[in-house]
Amino acid sequence: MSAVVAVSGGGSRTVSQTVRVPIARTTEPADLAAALEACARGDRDAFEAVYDGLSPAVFGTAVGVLRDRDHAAEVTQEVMVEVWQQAARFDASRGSARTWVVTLAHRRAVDRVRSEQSRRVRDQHDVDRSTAAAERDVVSEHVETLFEQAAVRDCLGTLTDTQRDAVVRAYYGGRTYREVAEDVGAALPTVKSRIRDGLIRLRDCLGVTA
Amino acid sequence: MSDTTNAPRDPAWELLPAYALDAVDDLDRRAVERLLAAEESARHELASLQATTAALVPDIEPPAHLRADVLARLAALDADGDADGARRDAADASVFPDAGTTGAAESADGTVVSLDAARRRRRRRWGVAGIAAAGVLALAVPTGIAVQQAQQRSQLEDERRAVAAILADPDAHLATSDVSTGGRASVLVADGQALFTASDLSDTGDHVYQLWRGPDPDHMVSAGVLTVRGGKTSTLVDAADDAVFAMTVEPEGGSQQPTTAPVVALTVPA
Repeated sequence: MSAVVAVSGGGSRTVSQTVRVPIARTTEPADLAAALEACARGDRDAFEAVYDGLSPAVFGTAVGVLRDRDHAAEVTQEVMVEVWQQAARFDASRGSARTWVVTLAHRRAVDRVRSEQSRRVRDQHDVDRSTAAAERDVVSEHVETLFEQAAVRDCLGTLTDTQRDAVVRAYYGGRTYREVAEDVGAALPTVKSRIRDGLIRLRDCLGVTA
Repeated sequence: MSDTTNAPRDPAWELLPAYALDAVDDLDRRAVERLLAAEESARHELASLQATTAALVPDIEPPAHLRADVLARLAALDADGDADGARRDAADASVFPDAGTTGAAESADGTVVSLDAARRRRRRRWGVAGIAAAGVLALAVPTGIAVQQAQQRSQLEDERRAVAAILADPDAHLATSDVSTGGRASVLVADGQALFTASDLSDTGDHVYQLWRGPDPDHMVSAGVLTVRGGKTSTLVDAADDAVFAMTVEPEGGSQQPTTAPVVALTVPA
C-alpha cells in the first residue's frame, strides 16, 4: 500500500497537499514499462494504465518546478499526450518508465519557466531582482517539505549546503548553471562542480543504478 | 562510477550532471547531445543521473478531471491524424504521375542520372512532401534495424550511433510522405547522413525497392537496393549534399538508373 502523508507548506507560496510517496506505487515498474511499450503499438487501454501509474510523477515534477497547481495541471496534460505520442522512444534498457516520464515532464516544466522569465524580461525590461530572489528562496523550503520520503531527505542531507543549494536551484528553480552562478555570486566552474559532485553524491547515496 | 581513460575526455562529460538537471543552455545542450550520440558510456552515465533526479520528484495525485481531459485530447489527435492523412494523399497524387518513362541521361561517370524528364516540369511540387514537424519524428525511429546476424553487429552499432546522432540533432530535417504503391516513407537528414525509413510497403514480388539520392531530381545516384522485412525498411546513407530522396521499384538486383517513376520522393531543405 502506498503511504499517504499530509504535507503543509512553510511559506505563503508553498503548496499544501497530499503527497503519495513514490516508492509504494501499486503499479510495478516492469508493468509500466510493458504498458509504455504497448502504447508504442497504439494500445489505448495500455495508455490508461500508464496514465494512472505515472501521471502523479508528472504532476509532482510540474508542481515542484512551477509551484502552481493550475500551471502544473496544464503541463501534465501536455506531457501525458507527449508520452502517448513518443512512447516508441521509450527504451526500457535505458531506465524505468517513471524516470522517462519525469525527464520529459521536467524538460517541459523548465521550458515553461524559462519562457515565462523571458516574457517578464521583455515586458518590464528589468526584472525585479529582489522579488525573483525571494521566489527562488521559497523553492528550497518548498522542496524540503515535499520530501517526506526518508531516503531522499537523508541523502539530500549528505550534500554540502552549497551543493544542495545548487542542485535544488537548478532542478526546481529551472535555472541553468550559469544563472545559478549569477544568483549566488559564485564562479562558473565552482557551480558546475557543486552540481556535478552533489548529483553524484546523491546517486551514490540512493544506490541508483542505471 | 566515473570511468577514467587515457585519452582526454570530451569536456561535455563535465556537463552531464547539469544536463540531467536541465540546467544547460542551448549551446551546452548540443555539446552534450553530440557526446551522447557518440559514446555509449556517456548514455549509461546519463541514465543513472536521470534516475537520480527522478528520485527527487515526489508523486502528487493530479486533479481528477485531468484524466478525462487527456483522453479527450488523444481522441481529438486521432481525428486530426486522419485529416492530415487525407491532405497528404491529395498532395501526393499530383507528385507522382506516369510510371515507366525514364528519360534518364547518364553523365560522364555513368552513375549520375536524372529520374525522368516528365518530373522536371513538376519539380517544384516535390517540395510538397518536404515538411519538418517534430510531431512526426517518431515515424523515423529505426525499428527495422534490428537484424541479428553477428557479423553485422558492429556495423549496426555504428549505425545506431549515427542514428542517435541524427535524432539528437536539433537541425535535422525530416520529410515524410505516403508511398504511391502503399506504405509510408520518411527521411531524416543531418550532418551529411540520411536515415531513410519506410513501413507498410507492398510486396514487390520478384522486384525490389531501390533508393536514390541527389542534390536535385536531375542528379540522382543509387543509394542501394533496400532490404525489406515485414513491409519495413530502414537504411542509413551518406548524403553530403543531398536534398532529394526517391524510391523506385526495380528488377531484382537493382538498376544502374531508375527504370520506373519513383513511388515516393522526399525533399528536405538543402
